[in-house]
Amino acid sequence: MIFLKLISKFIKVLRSGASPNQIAWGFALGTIPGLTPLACLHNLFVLILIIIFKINLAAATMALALFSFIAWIFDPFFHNLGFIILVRISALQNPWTELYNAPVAPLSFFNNTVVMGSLVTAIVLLLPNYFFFKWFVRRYRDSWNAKIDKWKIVKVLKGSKLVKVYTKIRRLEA
Amino acid sequence: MRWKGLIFLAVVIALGVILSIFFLDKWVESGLEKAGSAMVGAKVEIDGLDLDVANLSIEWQRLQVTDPNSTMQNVIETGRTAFRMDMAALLRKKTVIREMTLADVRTGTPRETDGAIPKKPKKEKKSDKQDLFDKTKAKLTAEIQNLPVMDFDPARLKKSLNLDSLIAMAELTMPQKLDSSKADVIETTQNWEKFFKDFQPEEDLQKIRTTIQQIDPQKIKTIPELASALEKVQSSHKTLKTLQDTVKVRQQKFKTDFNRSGSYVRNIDDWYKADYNRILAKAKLPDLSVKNIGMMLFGSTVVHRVNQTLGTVQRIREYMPKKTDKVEKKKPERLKGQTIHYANRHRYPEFLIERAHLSGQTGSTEDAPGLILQGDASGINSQPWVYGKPTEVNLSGRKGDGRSIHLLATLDHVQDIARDRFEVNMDRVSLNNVSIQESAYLPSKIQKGVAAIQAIADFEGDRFDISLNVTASNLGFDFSSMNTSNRFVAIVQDVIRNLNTVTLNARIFGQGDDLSMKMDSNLDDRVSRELQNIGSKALREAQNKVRGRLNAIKSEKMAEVDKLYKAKRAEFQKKMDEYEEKVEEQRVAAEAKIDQIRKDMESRKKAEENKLKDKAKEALDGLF
Repeated sequence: MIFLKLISKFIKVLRSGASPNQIAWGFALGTIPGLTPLACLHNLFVLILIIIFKINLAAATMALALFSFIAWIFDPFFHNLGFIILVRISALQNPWTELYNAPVAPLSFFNNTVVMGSLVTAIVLLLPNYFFFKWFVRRYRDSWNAKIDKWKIVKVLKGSKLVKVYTKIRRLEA
Repeated sequence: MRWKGLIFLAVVIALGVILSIFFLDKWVESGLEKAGSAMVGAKVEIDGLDLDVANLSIEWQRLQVTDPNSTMQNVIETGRTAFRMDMAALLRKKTVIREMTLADVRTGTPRETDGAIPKKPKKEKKSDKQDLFDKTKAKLTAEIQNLPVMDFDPARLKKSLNLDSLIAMAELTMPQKLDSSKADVIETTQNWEKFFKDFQPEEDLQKIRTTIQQIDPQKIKTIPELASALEKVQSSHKTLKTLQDTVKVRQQKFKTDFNRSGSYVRNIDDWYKADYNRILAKAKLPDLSVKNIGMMLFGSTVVHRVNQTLGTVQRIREYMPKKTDKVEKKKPERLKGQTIHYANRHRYPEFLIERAHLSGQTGSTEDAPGLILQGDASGINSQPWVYGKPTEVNLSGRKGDGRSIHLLATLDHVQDIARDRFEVNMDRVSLNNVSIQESAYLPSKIQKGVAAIQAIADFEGDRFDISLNVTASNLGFDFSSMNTSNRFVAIVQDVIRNLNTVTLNARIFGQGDDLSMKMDSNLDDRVSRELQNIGSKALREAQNKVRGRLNAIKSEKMAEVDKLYKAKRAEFQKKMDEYEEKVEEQRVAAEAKIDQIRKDMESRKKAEENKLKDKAKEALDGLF
């Protein structure tokens, strides 16, 4: 049911009146708390950004849920990448030492291999994610929406008892 | 700008702050309790925690740390405790407490509820250091478990000494070795019999004798004939020399062969002794001169305490690791990652209590306050190489009646090699109802007694040296629970009852796998002497029985070998001596004959020479 709920929300977001920019930024920024451990200082900054600017919250939540699952799979990669950045690259040792000794900065857990590895990955993916999701939303609205509605599986699903029951329950809940 | 969102965020933050005001104390209290319980292995409970965020101060009314070995009592309990955290360090994610006062500390207080926590399966220890401590602990335990068991009952000894079955079990080697010796003697004599059969010098000797006797230089007319006779005798002499060499070589071989075959005579005592000891071992006849009685009686208790100390040091080294120059990549738990530490300019370890003052008492109740304790601890931290100073603990306790305790500990993990030293001095410590490790010889509780204890434990890397000196007086055990026919236990009981003071000096030291353990007690000689007095008669009888049987076996087998060996040796020796004598006799005769012929030849030559000279003189006289 959670999975169906997520897909339904995802489709709702795509069909909503929000601009492709807002949705794409939502997805792109939601990737950061999704990939990195949630209880970190940088995620508070991301949350403030999402709230202050008109960024689609539903898209950010979707990205958070989706990328949290991906993060678990890629955890060993994040650890290795973080170790290389924090230990192996000698040119970065001084900046890290400065940061380690500075107030507040250590509270960000920047010196944790998984935090560093996943944060760097999320930042690197930020713009590609934004552009990809922007293209994706536009493409969906322009042509895929109508085509997907015609898919047999969608029709079968829409006509299935399970979906009808679920829709009724949702209406009752509303 | 999304104003609604901002307002929402502000509301959430405000709610967070309000919730914190109401619940932060509970959250911190619960967090500290969980962390403490995980460290101790039993419940750690904090009552009335108050966190002042503005001043960064923490205060609690009561702290209870359950004794993990006895979960219905606290190993430590404190009264009101207050301390402040360092703001600058906290902003750098470090918990630094500059000064802390633990007042009204008490030990061994009873708990209202059970302080046990469900045990989680132990994770496999990975570091070499932990393995080393674990290995040492296991080795010490094994040493104690492998001590000989003293079970001595003279009556049972008499009954149970079945020599036939003991001899069968002991697999004696003396009869086998004597049989082998007999086989060797038989083979040697056969070889020599064959030799004497083949070696027949009589014929040659007779020929030589005849040749020598027949030659009479007086009867030989010419010098060439004499020279021919000399040649004959010299040839005989050469033959005799060869014979003499053969006899000499054989004489030597004879000695070697019969000395080897007769080696059983020299070895029989060793074989006898080995078999005797083997039978004693199978009969489990005790060694009454045993010296390590202190180890048998108190070994398990001492090793238990030493293992506890090793476990403490192991745990200390786990929480206060030594410096590692190179950052090693670890395989952390999923989504946990590895925290990398850099050069710390502020010298803030992750956790530090710079100075802690402690005061309290060892007694659990107001009526029996026990020793009044007072002391300081400095530099309790989780990263000693960052802090740069060793952790030091100095704690002392005293009571009006002269009882005292003094603990000094230095934990120096600043350098590459960790050095830990603990020194405990206790005077007039009450041993009333003190539990000791279970043993077959002593009850698990000391009924009464007073002791002076000095313990020093030194650790440097993987090297350690622990010494313990105990002087206990008026020692009393309740032996009524120990019903046993074991006389050793009865003797131990008597000796302890009659001794005013029992001393124990133990030292356990080693490095890596090399481990040594020494334990001396004034009980050793006393118990051993008593044991010999009581047990010697029964033991002597048993030993004589074993000796008698062994002597019979020895005599029977020895007689067989001896008879053969001695008879053949004498026979062959006689033959060899005869040959030697005869050859020598002929050699002397031949040499005399050679001498006689040579002299005769010389005199004849001289006569011929004179004749020629005279003839020449006559011829020359006619000429002039």
